[in-house]
Amino acid sequence: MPESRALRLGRWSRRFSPSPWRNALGTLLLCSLAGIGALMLGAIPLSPPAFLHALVQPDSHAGLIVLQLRAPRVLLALLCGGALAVSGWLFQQVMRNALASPDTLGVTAGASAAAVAYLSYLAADWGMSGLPIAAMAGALAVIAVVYRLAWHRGTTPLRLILMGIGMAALCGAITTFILVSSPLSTTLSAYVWLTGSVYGANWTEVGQLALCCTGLALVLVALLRHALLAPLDDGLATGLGVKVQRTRALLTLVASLMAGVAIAWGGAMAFVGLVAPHIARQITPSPGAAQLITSAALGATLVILSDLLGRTLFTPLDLPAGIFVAAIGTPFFLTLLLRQAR
Amino acid sequence: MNTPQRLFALVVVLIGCAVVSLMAGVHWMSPADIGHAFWMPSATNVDDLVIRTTRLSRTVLAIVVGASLAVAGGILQTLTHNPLASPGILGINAGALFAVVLIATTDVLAAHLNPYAGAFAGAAIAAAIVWWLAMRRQTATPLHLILAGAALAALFGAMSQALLVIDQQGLDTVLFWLAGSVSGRSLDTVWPLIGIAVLGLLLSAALLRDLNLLAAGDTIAAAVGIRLPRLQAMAIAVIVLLAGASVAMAGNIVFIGLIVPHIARRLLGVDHRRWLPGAAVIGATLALIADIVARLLIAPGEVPIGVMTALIGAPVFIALIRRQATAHA
Amino acid sequence: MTQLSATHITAGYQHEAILRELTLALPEGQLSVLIGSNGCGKSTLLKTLARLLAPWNGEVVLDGADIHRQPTQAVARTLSLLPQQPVAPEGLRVRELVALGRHPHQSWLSQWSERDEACVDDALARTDLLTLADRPVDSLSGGQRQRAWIAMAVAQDTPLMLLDEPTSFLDLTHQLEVLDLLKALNRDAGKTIVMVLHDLNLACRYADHMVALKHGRIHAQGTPDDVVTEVNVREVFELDCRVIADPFFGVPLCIPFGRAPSS
Repeated sequence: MPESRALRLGRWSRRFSPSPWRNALGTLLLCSLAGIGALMLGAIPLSPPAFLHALVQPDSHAGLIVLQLRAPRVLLALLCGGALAVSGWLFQQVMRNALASPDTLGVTAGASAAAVAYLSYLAADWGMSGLPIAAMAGALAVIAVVYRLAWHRGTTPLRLILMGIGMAALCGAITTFILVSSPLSTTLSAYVWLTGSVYGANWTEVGQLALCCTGLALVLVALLRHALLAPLDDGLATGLGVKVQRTRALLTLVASLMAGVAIAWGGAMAFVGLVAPHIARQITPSPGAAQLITSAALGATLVILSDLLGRTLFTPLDLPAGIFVAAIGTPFFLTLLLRQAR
Repeated sequence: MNTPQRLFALVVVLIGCAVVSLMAGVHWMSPADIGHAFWMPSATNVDDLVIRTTRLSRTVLAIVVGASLAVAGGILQTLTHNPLASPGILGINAGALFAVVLIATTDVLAAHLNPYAGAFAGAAIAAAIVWWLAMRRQTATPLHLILAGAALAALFGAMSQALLVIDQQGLDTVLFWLAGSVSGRSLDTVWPLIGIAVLGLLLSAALLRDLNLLAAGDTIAAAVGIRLPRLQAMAIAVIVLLAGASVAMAGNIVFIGLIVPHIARRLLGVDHRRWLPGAAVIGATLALIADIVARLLIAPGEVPIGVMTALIGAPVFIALIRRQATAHA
Repeated sequence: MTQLSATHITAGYQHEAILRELTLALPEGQLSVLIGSNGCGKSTLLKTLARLLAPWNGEVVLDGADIHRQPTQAVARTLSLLPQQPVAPEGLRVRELVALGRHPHQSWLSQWSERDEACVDDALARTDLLTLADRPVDSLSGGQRQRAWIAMAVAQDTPLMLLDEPTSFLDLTHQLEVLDLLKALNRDAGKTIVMVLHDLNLACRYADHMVALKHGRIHAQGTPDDVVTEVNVREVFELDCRVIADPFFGVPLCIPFGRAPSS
């Protein structure tokens, strides 16, 4: 029986039930364990004492490996996975559809088309630093177009999803066309980007992404109580004093930005946004902050582990993390599905 | 126009498009050239040769593939009661892609296996797994089918990506397949697949009446004596024949299976006996038009037909949804 | 006390007007029931009164001001609405669903004040849901679920409640249970209640005030005795019937015969 308590301090008050937060804490712990494991393992595995030694001596050989090579990679994976999971959770809330994710709304496809176009036509002159900006711009442009197309005296979730699917197909066609018509070397780097990879991450990138994620997380903290009402019918929500259209637009924007920044720095890692919120919902059925944190922690864990597998399983090959996201996520997802069907 | 007249008009348009498809290309032919190529072919005339080999094969392929994908999508939409279903959700495209990639990157397989046959087998196996996953609890609910398909498609996609990233040479060979194309396949090599697709089309004609009842709801269909699991299994089998063969021949052509049924229902009403044949005709026409535009747009280069169908199809789809929105809001 | 009224409203969907020049004042502190045949505009009227639908002409006035000019959160503290067949978000427990009703009273800072807690407990107690409070909403029966939705509206703690067919799809016992609950809220807590009902005889038994609609206009209004007459029933529902006094409750009791030949 889930007991709930009230936390009150002056005017500040929250409802608090321990069991969802216990789950959230558990998944966060799991995520940190995965992170530490990813820091220790690799082409040169480190024993726990050697790992601790490396941490206190950043200039040693092991220290360089851990702090300059592995740590940025792990953190980037953490941020990308977390942001994609949060984005997927938000999309599923707002669109009231278990299949909604950055992919279905066309955000991923838009970012991909823009990124591939950048890699093919502009990267030679402008360098790689513009890639995240191009991907962001693509994501935002597509969600804006989807919203505009779906708008007819307000929007409905179904219409947004349908328009998203249409735009995703259009952007996918453009991406394929660019891939087919550009030289093979560009195609290869574009293909790796499309798979999603945190290869070669550095602290600057981590800093930029962390800044974006923190900003969006703060906005989300302010909007969370509205996000929890988003699955209600429009009529009910209006009856409860929610400005339905404004809230929906705002939440869609935040979810798109979340996915946009993650894709911009980590590539089009499909599937995290779909699968992590579903697993979180199985662990903690009650929608709320704890469920959201659980989802983010699971997304982060998934990408960290995928990247770890990608760089250790087929050494000396360093495979994109995106490959293993589906490989780890699908069995989980299917098991859940089969259990639900019972 | 009443419905039979519309259907007739669509067939006329299709024939027109087929003729244009034989004529169009870097080197345009006249209708007289085409007549000459068919009825008085000479072995030394280059025009005759071009028409009878490349132009004819891609025209036939576009017609068969377009019709098959449209019918497969239409049946699947009725079966799942979901207007957004397309053969891709059964994992057909992802399974075929994986098979193609596997064959292209593994020397042993490449030496002994025909990639077209491999692609068809991959599509069929993927669809069988999805169907088995969804059917484990007696009847497949549409949502489970879609979720299982989405997950399995992602898994197959990831495995293909893994192979391609490891063996980068494979990427170049399968890119053409990823983008979809009906050019460069001679009828001599793909005729078994064309046969399979045509068989699928014939079998689908036998399902039309039952599909009408299924569209009214699973319970109603069962109440009037339809054996639901058998019908579902047969419909899936037909879809695998149609879409599997198409995908194996022409690669990843998205969107025909999704939007053509919508267009057909809009033009020809809700009776499957009318709109499903109509969908075949419209699908064939769309594929032909996409292929014609694909070879003219950046001639002498070619845009992949899969790209063209999406570029033509997506705006139509979006316009369709917008019209519906203004009608029902 | 709060006053809700509509003056000369015309409203509808697309290009089709459903309500035509309708003027209505709902009596304070009473239980009003809207009746009428299918498609006469009852639900449209309720939606327009609840500001879900903006009228093309005329205005809906809540406490002396146009309802569409007032902040929607402020309106939600005065007026609660239960639409037909609402869908509950997945995974929610009864107490969490009822707590959503407190949304208009909350801010970012205060999301579970003592008043919130008291209102939710009170709503659960009134709807007899205390024992089910920790059950997932998906696991409830139809009657229990409807009570949970009403509890949510009760927790909203508004002087005015609008309900669209709160008894549809319930069996007779559960219909009476829901109506008794609403009557008690009206009597004990002094709430003004407006609802759409299909069952004429139940409407007669519970209503203080009845409004009969036909073709988007008010055909008759007043006490059940004024409204439910053989003539009115024939005109509003195209139904031949006999109206007698209910032997137990004294209110009108309509005994239907069949469809009246259209006049």
